[in-house]
Amino acid sequence: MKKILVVDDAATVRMYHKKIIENAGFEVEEAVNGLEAFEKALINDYDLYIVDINMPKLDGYSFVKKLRETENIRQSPVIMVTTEAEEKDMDKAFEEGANFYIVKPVKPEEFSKYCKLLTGVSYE
Amino acid sequence: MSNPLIEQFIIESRDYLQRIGEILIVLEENGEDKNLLNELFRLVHTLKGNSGLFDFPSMTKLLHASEDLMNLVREGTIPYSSDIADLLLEAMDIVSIIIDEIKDSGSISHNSIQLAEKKAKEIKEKFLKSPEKREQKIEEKPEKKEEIAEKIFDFSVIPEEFRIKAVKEALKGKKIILIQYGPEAECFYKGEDPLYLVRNTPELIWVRSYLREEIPDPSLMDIYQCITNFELLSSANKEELSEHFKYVLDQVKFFDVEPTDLIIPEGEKNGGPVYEDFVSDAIKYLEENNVQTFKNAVKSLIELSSSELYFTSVLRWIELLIDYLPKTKNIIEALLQSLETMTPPKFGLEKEPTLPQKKEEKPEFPEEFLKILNSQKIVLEKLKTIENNIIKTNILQSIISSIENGLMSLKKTEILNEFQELSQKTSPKDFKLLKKWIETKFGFSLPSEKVDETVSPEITFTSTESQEKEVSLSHTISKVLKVDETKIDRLMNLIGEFVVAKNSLPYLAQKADNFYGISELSKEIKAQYSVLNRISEEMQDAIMQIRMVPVSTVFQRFPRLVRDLSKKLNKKVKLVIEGEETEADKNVIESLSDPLIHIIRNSLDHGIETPEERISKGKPETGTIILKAKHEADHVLIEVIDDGKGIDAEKIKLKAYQKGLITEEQFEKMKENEAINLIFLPGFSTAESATDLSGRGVGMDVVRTAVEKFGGSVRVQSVINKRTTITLSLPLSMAVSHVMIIESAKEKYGVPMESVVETVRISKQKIKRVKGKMTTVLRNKIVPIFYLNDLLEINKPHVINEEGKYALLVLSVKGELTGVVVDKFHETADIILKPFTGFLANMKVFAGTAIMGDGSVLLIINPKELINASRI
Repeated sequence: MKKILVVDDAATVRMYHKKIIENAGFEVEEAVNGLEAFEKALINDYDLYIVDINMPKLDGYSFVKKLRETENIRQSPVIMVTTEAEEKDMDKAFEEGANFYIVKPVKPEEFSKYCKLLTGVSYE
Repeated sequence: MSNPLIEQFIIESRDYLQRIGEILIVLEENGEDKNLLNELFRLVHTLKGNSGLFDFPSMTKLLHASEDLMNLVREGTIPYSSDIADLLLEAMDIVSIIIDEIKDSGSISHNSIQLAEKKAKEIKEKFLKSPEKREQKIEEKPEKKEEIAEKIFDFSVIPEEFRIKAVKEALKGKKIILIQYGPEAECFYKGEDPLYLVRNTPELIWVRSYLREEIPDPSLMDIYQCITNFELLSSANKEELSEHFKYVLDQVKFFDVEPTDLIIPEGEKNGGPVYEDFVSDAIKYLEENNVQTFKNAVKSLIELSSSELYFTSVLRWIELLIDYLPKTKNIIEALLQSLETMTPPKFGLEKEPTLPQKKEEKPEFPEEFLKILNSQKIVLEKLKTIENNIIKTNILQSIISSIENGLMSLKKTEILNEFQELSQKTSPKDFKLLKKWIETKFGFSLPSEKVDETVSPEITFTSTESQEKEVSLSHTISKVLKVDETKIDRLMNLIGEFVVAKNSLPYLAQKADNFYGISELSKEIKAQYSVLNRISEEMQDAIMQIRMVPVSTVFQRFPRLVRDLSKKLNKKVKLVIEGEETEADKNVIESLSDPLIHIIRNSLDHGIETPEERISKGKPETGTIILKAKHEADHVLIEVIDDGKGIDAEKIKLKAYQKGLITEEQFEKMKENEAINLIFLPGFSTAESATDLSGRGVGMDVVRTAVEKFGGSVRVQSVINKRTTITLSLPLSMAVSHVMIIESAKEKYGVPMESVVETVRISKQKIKRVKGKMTTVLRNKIVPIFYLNDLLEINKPHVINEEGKYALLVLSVKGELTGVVVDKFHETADIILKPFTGFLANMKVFAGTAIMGDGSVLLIINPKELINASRI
């Protein structure tokens, strides 16, 4: 089973994303901020990262930056989950090496499609 | 509520609101703190994001406005001010109400929706109006919202006669205005009289009131809070109305009412005579402009028909409108039409038919994939600017994975092979081919305008926020599990039951030995029992730990309270909180809340002087209230200390004497410290005149009662013109109570240790009868005495010991000493009190029962009720 890391400081959002992704047939792990996500990325092999932008300790941009700076870990795709207001800042996310973004609140069907496409799981 | 996502949302939202409130208060003193401003923004932002997952648009809108406002503050566009703090606090209060409503009913009340929308609008109008593009978008919304709000109101709730009256006014050329007035909860303290205001509304046509929230349990109800909303129809003009409601304009909403919205025929649609010809005749009269005949026909039909019919209702409307022909012709026609179809009339507001959906052919690549590809193109573009080779390689790797996975997912094997071949040739130095490949292969029909737009140079700008925060990786992330309180309570009950169930094992062991004669089994059971016993003790300990919460959960609401009240009273007050990490059982902490509010209100109102008074006394202008918590043995002590005018013992004594609360003798002898504590007597109110805040007719006795209910105590110390200290002492945990076991008529009872003062032996002779009542003198005090057997209506005399003395249990109830004669004293014990349920709950003399270690049931006496029983 493909493994996805959901990074968001809001437990409600994590729960929501987790449910959608699990229903799509993925294994999900969670991190509450960029720092925890990065620590997890160092020891685990994730197929995809789903990352919130505004988080305490280490925000989404900085997480991607750190991930892409680090050698010898798997460079899986990163989806940034943004709000409408942050959409204009997406340029920055792409600069740091995020691969895609999706606007909150995510639509379950669309969201699971993107997860499948970015992890190579058969697309319906 | 069963949806775990909503539950999570509610729990998390409450945490966030809490933190937001705290930060707002701290920011009042230090509005420049960039970190706090950022945190505040993030919290509001996250809250908004969370709310967006559900269908609570009004809440999201309000949070959105708050977020925009916070963003401007954080960016330094507008300075942080107490206006902003007020607005945000109010907004968060509304959100908090909404969260509670969602928790209770799963939906948001009409009133809260309006409150939220109003507040959002207020924020936008006050702060977010600027010529910038982004703000313009926001500004457009409120206009639409009013329309929606108007649609929300169901005019059919207005009885027909009032609607007719309103339409009459409208036909005379007046404007009808719907007013929604939601007086704020604290309005009575502002000298407002909502009812009076409403009743005197100019040209009032109709009014109704309703409760915006359900009436809570009477014991929880605060009758000094206004929970009523009003809805009114008036034909006065808006200026007049604004003038009338000028003091509460922020709580009032005006809506223009379309007269046709009020024309809602109602009544029984079936039955009654059928006048089929009427409609065709009516249309004819209308065409011929034969007003008088038409009118007569309508009139006579109204007289003939039962007034409850839909038909008659339509006629009544027509009758009203006839006089204003021809401008009302269209409306009358619509009404006549409605008579034929028996459906509500439509006044020319047909909806446009929706366009049929275009059917699209399935494309070779789904839109989602093309969007992903487009993003990769953008990232590739950005890659050019990156110098660092590691980053370049890594990002390239992620791009390749993204595309490769997509093709794999779509099972496009051919293209996948082609791509893989290409990616082999791609390196950080040379990825032009890859880009070109994407462009030529897919570039022709990218549907995603959205992504394109995002990268167009004129819109993009980079945030100035520092991304390069120094973050240490060694930081540990604490794991906290949030659990619903009811689950903990359930666990606690289960553990309680387990403890009881476990207690039967020793008896079983005994039975195995004595009755069945298997002593080996008895031994094994005993061994097993000791294991279970140990586990159960640990379980009890663990659950107690879980239930421990810091007092900060109660304390954190006080900065807001002090802030609001001191503003209202024009006093300057600083609140200092100490020891907020002190822990106690959740129930204990919760029980603290109301008494503390009362005490702090008192301190603010009666304790702390006005700035002028303080200066004249040579004190600092700003008064200080210290709220302190600490542990002392198995109690938690809460102190409220203010440096105000103190309590005048002489005044208190005099007042108590005048009110007949103390005797003349007591008045003479009473020491200062004792006198001050008289404020806890029922019926004592310290204020000379009732003031805005504390003079609510309830005094400190309420505080004492509340605290004593939980086995705590309260005392006060004061130095005049220097300070007043009120100390609450509460047990750490209420789950376990400490009781003294006594025996009477061969039955054992438990008496809570809190009320036991001492146990003494007294001889029969020492009990004197005064006016038919038994008393004795103990340490120079006259103590009334009762026989427990009498109180419990057990018809047996008490036994005396070999020295001919009775066992006397001295209890302190409501501060008075009372002696109760029992047969025997036993040891004390820790018990888990189980209150009675059902019929037995009426036996107030007993607080409940407890299961003892030997499996027997112990009745726990409620001393207060026991003494009350003596008076009957």
